[in-house]
Amino acid sequence: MIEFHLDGRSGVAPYMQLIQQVRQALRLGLLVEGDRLPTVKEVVAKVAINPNTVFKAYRELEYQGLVVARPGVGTFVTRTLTDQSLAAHESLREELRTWLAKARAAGLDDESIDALIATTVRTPTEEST
Amino acid sequence: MTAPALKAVGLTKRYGRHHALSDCTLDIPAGRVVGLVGPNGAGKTTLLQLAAGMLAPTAGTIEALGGHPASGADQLAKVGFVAQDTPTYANLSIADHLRFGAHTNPGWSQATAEERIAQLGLDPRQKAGKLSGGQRSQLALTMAIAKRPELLILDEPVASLDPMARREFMKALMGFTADDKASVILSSHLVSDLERVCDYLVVLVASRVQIAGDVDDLLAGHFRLTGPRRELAELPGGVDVIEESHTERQSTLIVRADVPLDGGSFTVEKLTLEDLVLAYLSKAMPARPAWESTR
Amino acid sequence: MIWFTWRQLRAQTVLAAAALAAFGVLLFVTALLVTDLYADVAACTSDCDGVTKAFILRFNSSAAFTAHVIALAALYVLPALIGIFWGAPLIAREVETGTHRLAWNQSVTRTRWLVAKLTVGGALAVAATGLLSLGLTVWAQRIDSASQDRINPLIFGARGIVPVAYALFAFLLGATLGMLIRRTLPAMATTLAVYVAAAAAMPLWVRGYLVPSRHDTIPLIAESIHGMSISGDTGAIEVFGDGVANAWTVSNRTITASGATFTGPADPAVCGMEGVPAKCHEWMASLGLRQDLLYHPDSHFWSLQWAEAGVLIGLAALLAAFCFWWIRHRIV
Repeated sequence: MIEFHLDGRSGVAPYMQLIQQVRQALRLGLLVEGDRLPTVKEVVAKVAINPNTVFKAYRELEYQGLVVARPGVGTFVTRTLTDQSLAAHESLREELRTWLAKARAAGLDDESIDALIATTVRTPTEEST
Repeated sequence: MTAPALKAVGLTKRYGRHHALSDCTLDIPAGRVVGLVGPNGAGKTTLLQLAAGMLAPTAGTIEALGGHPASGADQLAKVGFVAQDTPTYANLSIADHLRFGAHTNPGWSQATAEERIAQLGLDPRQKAGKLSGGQRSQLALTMAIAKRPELLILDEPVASLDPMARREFMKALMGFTADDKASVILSSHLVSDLERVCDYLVVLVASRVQIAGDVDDLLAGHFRLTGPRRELAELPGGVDVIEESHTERQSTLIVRADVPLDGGSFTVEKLTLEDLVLAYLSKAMPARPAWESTR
Repeated sequence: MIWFTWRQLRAQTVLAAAALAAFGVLLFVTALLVTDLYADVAACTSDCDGVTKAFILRFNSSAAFTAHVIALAALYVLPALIGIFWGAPLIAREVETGTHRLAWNQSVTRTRWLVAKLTVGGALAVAATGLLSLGLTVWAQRIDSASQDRINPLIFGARGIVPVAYALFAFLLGATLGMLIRRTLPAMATTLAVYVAAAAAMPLWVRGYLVPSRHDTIPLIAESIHGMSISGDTGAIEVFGDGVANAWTVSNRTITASGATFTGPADPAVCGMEGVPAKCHEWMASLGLRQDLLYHPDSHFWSLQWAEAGVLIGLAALLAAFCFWWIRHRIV
């Protein structure tokens, strides 16, 4: 079962944080098909947020086709986001480590690295245009 | 159609010549968690006590769940009220308090009450006077929850609590709203207390309602514009300036906009709830020059 | 709600019950003593005045007399205590600590809340004083019938139903003042002050007029003059005759044949500084003066009891009505 937490300083809306955490867990294989998400009551009793926020996040996840709500039983994961990519993670991580070492050697500090990655991810690449 | 949780029209409360609440008009739908924010002395307690029927208005009307506040046992059963500083009977035990609730409320759930007391790790034989502030407010909340009201009103419930007790209190309160689909109205002078839990916000400053609305709508309709200094007349129609501050070259505006803002030479940013509330606070309290200069 | 009010008053009630029980024991033990002393009177069949007087004398020097004084004091103090410790905090403590905001937000209207409080508190007040007064009235039956002075204001207020009415009045007075003052200690102090004033005013200025008093005019004889005061400057004189036996004398004026209050002047030769009191009394009696008396004989006892109790219960009812009005319209 996934445990939610909220970052009050991130500026990301709470319901969005919940969605991101579910997606993250799906991607990392922490949640798999058939797993039950915590009930709304369990979530609000854990992180002290408005139940409507949780409803909204769960509705959005349902809309994205990741979970399904069975009335009176709970909300269940119907699909994972790991698919084939999980297998590729390890080699990609290795490459990233190599790249990070290179970047540090070139004199970039963590902040510059973050900024570089963020701008690069947001810049449309040739394939996607 | 369900009656609104709270409906006020021209609601005014005066003490002699002092206006505690002026011409307040609200229509808060049921099923929401409503945050009532404002500085100390803004009239939050007055508004909540009017809603609970502890006070009678000087002028105007107020209805809670479509009924006249405290007009009878039925109305009292529908509306729960936890007063500021969560009063309890110091020389009576927790069990006595629960028995009191059971004797006086038709919808009382003893199971809920006992379960909560057990969860809190409290001994029912303990006298309320021996409890810590946090435990006392939990007892008051337990009584209000076990009463099973459709509308629960809480006046500054966490103001006197430490951060740990605050969190525990909010968890319990949110657990209740998830269970019972009840409406909740709670006040605080700190937005941070309410940010996570509220989906509806009322800002009360200097005895007047400055703004009230759905939190998502409020956030979607307010922006911070930063850009080179220029005249306000250049802003498109449908844009209200809430707060402005200028340096020699730059202007920072907090605006409410019903129309899309293309920005132009201005950078358009979304606001956090806290920024939004602060903008309305400083708008309603202009006699604070220190505020201007720090922005 | 009734259970809860009872729960709030429980500790004090237990205390009161213990005190009453102690009193019961005191009265029971001394009752045996009174029965012993009374044996002669009980056995007497005719011409019993002497035996009765002897009983009173023996009673006055016995331990039972002390018990009687204590019981009288208790019956005067108990209503005041009820007003101070049950009445005054009844609403004041709730308002002071804010617990009325908890109580008024259960599913019980303020009116019902007040009904429960006043009913339970009032019932306890009536029960406590009622038991004590009943005990003392029964205990003192023989003494009262022998001494024939239960109409005497001091005894009157500690017999029959009047103490109960005082207790009820004191309780509502305390409750009302507590509601208005909103703080417990000042409310208790004010209750004490107002109650003592009311309880003193009653026999001094009110009780005598509740039931029409009997009016008699009798010749003033030398033996019934028990005092006089003479003004040195004007020679004006005031004469005090004896009151009516076995009755409560409300007004006792010495009048002349024409009906005016007698003011002298006194004959300085007989009644002056050098005069002998006996001679002066004789001279006085020779003037044909009369005593104009207003009094309540022993037979007025119960009608006075009912009248006074009625006044007090009426006042208590007015206070209660005021409390209901106030709590619905004014209090926060």
